[in-house]
Amino acid sequence: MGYCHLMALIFCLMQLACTDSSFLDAVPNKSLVIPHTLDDYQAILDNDRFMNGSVSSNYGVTPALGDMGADDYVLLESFEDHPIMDNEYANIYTWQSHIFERSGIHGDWTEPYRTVLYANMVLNGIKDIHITENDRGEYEKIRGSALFYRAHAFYQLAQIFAPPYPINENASLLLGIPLRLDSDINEPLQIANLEDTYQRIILDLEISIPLLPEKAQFNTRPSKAASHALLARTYLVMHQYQKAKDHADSCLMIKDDLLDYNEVLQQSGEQSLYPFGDARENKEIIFSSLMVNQNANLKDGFFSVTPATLLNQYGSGDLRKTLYFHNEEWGITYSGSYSNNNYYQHFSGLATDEIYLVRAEAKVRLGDHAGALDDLNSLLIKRHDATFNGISASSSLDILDAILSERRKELLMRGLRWTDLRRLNEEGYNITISRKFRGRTYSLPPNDPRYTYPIPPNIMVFNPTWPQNAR
Amino acid sequence: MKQNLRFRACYCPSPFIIKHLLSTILLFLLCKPALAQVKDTTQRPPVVDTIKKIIKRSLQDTTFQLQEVEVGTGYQTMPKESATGSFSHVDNELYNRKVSSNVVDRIADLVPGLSYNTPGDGLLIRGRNSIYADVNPLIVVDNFPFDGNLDNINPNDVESITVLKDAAAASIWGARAGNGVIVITTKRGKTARPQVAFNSNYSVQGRPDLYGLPIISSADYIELEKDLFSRNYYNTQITNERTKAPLTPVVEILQRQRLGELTESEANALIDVLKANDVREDLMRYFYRNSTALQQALNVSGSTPTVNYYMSAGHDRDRDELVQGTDNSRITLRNRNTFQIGRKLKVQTGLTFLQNTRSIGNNPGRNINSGTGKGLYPYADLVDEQGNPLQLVRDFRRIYVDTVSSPLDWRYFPYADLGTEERTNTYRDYVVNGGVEYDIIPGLNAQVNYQYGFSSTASVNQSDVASYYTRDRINRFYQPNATNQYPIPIGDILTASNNENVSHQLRGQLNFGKSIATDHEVSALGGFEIKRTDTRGRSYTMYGVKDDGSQVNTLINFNESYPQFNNTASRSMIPNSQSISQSADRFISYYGNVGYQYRNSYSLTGSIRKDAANLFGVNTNQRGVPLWSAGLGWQIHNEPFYPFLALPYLKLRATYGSNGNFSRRASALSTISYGISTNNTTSATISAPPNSLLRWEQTRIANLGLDFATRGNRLSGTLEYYKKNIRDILAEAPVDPTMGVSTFYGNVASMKGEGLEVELNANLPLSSRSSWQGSFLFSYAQTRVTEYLLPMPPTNLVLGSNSGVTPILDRPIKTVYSYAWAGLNPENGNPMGYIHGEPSEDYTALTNIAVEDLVYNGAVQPPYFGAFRSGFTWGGFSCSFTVNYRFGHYFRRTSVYYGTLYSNWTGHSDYGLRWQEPGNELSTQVPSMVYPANSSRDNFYTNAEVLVEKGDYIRLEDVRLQYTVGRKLMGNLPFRQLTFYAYTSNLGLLWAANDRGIDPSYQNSPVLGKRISFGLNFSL
Repeated sequence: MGYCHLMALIFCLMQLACTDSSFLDAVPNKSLVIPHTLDDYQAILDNDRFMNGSVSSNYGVTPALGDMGADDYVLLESFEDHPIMDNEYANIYTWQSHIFERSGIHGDWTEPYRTVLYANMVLNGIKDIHITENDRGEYEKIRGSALFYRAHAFYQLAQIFAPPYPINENASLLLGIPLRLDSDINEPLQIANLEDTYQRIILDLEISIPLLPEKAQFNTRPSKAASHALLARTYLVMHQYQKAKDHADSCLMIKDDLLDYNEVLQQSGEQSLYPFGDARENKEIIFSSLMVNQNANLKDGFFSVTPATLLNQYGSGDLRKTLYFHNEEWGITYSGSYSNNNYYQHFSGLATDEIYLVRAEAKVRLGDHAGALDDLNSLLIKRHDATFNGISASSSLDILDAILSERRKELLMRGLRWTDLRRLNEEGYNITISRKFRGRTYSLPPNDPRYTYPIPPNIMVFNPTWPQNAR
Repeated sequence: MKQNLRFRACYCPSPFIIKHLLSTILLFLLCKPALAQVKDTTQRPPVVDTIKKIIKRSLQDTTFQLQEVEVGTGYQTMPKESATGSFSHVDNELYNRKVSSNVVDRIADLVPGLSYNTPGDGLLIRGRNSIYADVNPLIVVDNFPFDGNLDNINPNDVESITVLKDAAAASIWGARAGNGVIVITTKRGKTARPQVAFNSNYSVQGRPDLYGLPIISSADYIELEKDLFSRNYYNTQITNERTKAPLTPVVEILQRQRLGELTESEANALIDVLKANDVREDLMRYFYRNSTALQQALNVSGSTPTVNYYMSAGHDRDRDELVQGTDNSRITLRNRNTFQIGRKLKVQTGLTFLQNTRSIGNNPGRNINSGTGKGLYPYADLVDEQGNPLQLVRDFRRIYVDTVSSPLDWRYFPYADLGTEERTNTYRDYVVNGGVEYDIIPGLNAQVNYQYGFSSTASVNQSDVASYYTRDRINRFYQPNATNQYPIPIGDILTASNNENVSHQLRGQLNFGKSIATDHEVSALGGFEIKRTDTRGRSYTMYGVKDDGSQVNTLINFNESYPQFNNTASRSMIPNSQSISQSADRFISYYGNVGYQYRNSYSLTGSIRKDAANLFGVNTNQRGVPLWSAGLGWQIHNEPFYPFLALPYLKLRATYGSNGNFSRRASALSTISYGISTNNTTSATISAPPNSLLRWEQTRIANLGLDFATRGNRLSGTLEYYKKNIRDILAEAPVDPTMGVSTFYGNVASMKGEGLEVELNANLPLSSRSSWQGSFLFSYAQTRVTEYLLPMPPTNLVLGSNSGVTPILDRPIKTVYSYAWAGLNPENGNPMGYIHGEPSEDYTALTNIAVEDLVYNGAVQPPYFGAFRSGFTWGGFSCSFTVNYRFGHYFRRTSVYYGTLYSNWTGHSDYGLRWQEPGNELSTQVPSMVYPANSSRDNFYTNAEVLVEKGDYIRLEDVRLQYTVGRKLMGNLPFRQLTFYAYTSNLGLLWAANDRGIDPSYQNSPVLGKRISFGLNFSL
């Protein structure tokens, strides 16, 4: 072999190495995929574990601090000195100004923001996809869904970490939450004002409505009905009843199914731990989401019971008293969650029963007494046995009281009571809640700054310039 | 075991063996006629020899004869004198001094700058250079990078080891050289006559010392349990019918007493029996054993002008210290041949086969799990007097498992459980390589090398239906009222996984060497390298496997969440390890290296390398700056004016250059991984948000070195000083979780480092038959963070652990921080810290301080380390020992943490030393007991300054005795050489800075026993 031959050989080998440009394009880790198709982005949104929470993986995504601070449960005295009872639980339970003690992740904050990242990744990523006429429907559905997920996460965060939406004040003078709108890790973040926070939620939902299908294939996916439902809920929080009513109308026009609890009871029997069965099949659910269960033991059925004052409100013939509660050795505990996992994960999504109550409340506040009673009774007839005669009241105040009382009985432990306490106190209802703990009584007066949770310290560490919520 | 179920490699690599054998035979045939033609191959020496000869000549000019040491970079070999970089060479004799089945163990304490068993990192060269990327050096075996486990190299096949420490030495390895390079050269034939060499040894190591562990005594814990019981601490567990929370025997007795089933005296009698138990007795007797290692190695080699051959076989059998624990068996086969065909062509072939079979039983030793997440209570009785297994409380109360009508027995007998699970792991590795070297014209040659590697790992984890693990699984999923009562069928559970790795490496290189006139000497090389590695893995779990392995129940519903038999309020899915993984590494590199020598006094070297890889985005590959180095050497002794005759060798070296480092975990693009949603649609999880600016880390090193030797090499040494600057450090750093992720991987930090290395060797003849050899190594290596783009980690992470990585400006990468300590409050024994300079017991405030307000104690990894070795030779006898030392580092010792002491069933022996009454604070620093436990108080104390200890120590590492049979004694025995040896290691501390008897190398694990080995080696 001569010199020339060898040089030629080496040259050829080098050519081989250089010309094969795909050589360096191999994906380093095949289980990792670089998202680039609509299917990839749909798959990101279908990660129900992080977008909705899932019972099978014991994972939730919406804050549980609201229910932990509200009056739908009472801690067992025996739990006060349980090993799991630490300073943070004690702080939460007694509404201390200083809350967070535990190190590590505070899911109430991080989980919704993870959902926001997923939504933003999709919103950013699909911009670069070339859309053909055939894909347009799919593309719009994905974009609408991502907007809905983001709005839902922002809404949930605002109920915990932002103050109640004011009735007489200018909301743009109050602090809201950081509105993360990009997936870039370097996006600078500031806390938006409360008005901008709610306007962003409304804007995202309004844009999503024409993009989304009327109903979704699975209740973990967003739909027009879900967007209307969340708008109805949001406007109620903002004390804007006409808009709340309009969106509740639009929602119920698409989906107005209600479970007949007579049938539910027949199927499940009394004292069932899972009366409502698989959440995927529950026809009342418009959009499914679950509360974080890490660090949420306080309201677990193992450590708490339902307060007698609440239990006593259920009248005779009210099937909810049977279906929602379970007799344990230590007392009567809540076990009526639509999540189908009552002890660990509570449902915090949107369901038609809530929308009936939103519309009823909005109607009575707008002066439509008959309409309000109509909505209320359409719901209650499904919640009572044959002895139920319907509610009839004449004064708007009585009707409103009846609706609010049903709201409390129907929607407990769904993350709504905290928001209702904030909202109603804002309107002057003057509700003080109180608790006993280790021999002392603690109370939370109306409109107290402690109705807004502080931002967890391990978030503040990264954002030293943010103003902390004053408590 | 069920042989037929074992996972096998997808395809058999035997064709490669056949091919190799065929090619070997072919080359033998080819080389026969060539041999006939060529009478004298030394007439036209190859390039490298020319260079060597010139250098040797220059050395001969002086009256000094330097030991001829060749150092290899994996691309070339060169005489150490002509090198400018920082090379450390370990020759065969020194390398064989230690007895181990592992290559790295043998170079410990032999190379300045190289630290091993470094807390958290293992093997490091010149300290830790990175935050989260790879920190261990690149290993090169016979010119190609070795990506496997170092345990998979037979140390008996190794001829010598060169460690490349600075940029000039290592930068030829480019993006992988940042952590230094260890170049392993395997043995080759040396003598014309075929030589057979054999080495065999047997090692025994004593049981670990469990009694040295700081575990609370039985009496103390029982008294504590009584106290807690009286405070109703256990009430919620006792009354919670749903969880059936497990209770220790003492609590059960107390509860029976409370219920009136036992009188006080009966209860006390039962408890007194338990007080006398120490679980460590049973553990030491029935769960631990002496570990052993048996090693045998045989090789045949030879060298003629036309063929150089080496063939070896080795077998290692290691058993660890746990009864039914790890049993490891390793077989290695190696063949390496070089053929000279004609005058110009050299062909090299190699084949390596390795099989490592490991079987691990089910013996967690002292980590036996009693109770859900609980430790092993100190008075547990595991085996009775007759040697029968005893029951231990585990996941549920005794009364529940003793009476429940579960399909299978739910009781747990740890001793009976030992043999019921077996994990076998079979690793096979095949390496085939070949190379051609051709002398084109005098001074220029070309070479092409290729290496193919295939390795497979098959793991099978079989849990018999008799094992607690399997019984527990089946029972938990038992559905008494469903049509399918056994979602997990009754039978064995088998988890299997299989990984395969295929790699191809190809290198083309031109070597050039020429002397111009008499004063100039030029050598150069240039080439390219392509590497591709593909890895794939599969794993799955099978349930209901029948005894003979013939039947597997495949009707398992992995998607349903089943209510658990023991607690119907809780639901679980059947665990499924089914997974598939695949990864691909692609590298293309170009490199070059130049050396120039003037009058044998001055040498100049330079190297350059550019890498492109699929790990980085297009941007990095295009923009990437080549990594380079330059070096200057001055052999002062060759200068005419050189005055020191006593010091016939004196050389000064200076180099500067850059090396790279990367991490496979980093990706420039956002990536997702697929899964399945609850609705059975495809779902995707975001693995990493995008980072298009990702690039590899760069380490710039300036190195100054001085080598010297006295006449006759009686005293020789090396002195080195370096500074380094590490930029673009990749880190998975905490990021504001508001971003949607809590960590982020990117180029976020810079570090600076410096170090000093001293190596002194003495070789003093004492008489004609005896001599003394001494060696002293000292290293100083310290890096500190100079830039960190992300927010500083919070206090709790900084305090978190000894091994955690928490970058803090101006500090080393691993640090010990603590809370300032103001002693115990004399009134109540509460630990006190300082707030605004005043002693305080406000633990919420004390533990919520910023990192800047903590006390900085120092580095976790020792900045000063080294060894001293002394050897004495008298005729055929020799004796040597090694003492090593590490200074300047700190560790946090453990102590009592009341919260976990109450809940975990075991705790720290410091409990016995706690403050109990005023006055105790004069003799103890352990806080008083408080109930209920206050986690802030516990956190404050366990992270307080009072628990931080100096890590400095001096250790007697090993002693070796050796006798080589003299020629006269050998008589007619057929041996060329025959040596007997004894070696003992792990001999314990000579001195430690902490006065609590803690060996800093074993902070929370038992001190391992002394190890002794006997062996012999001979050659024929």
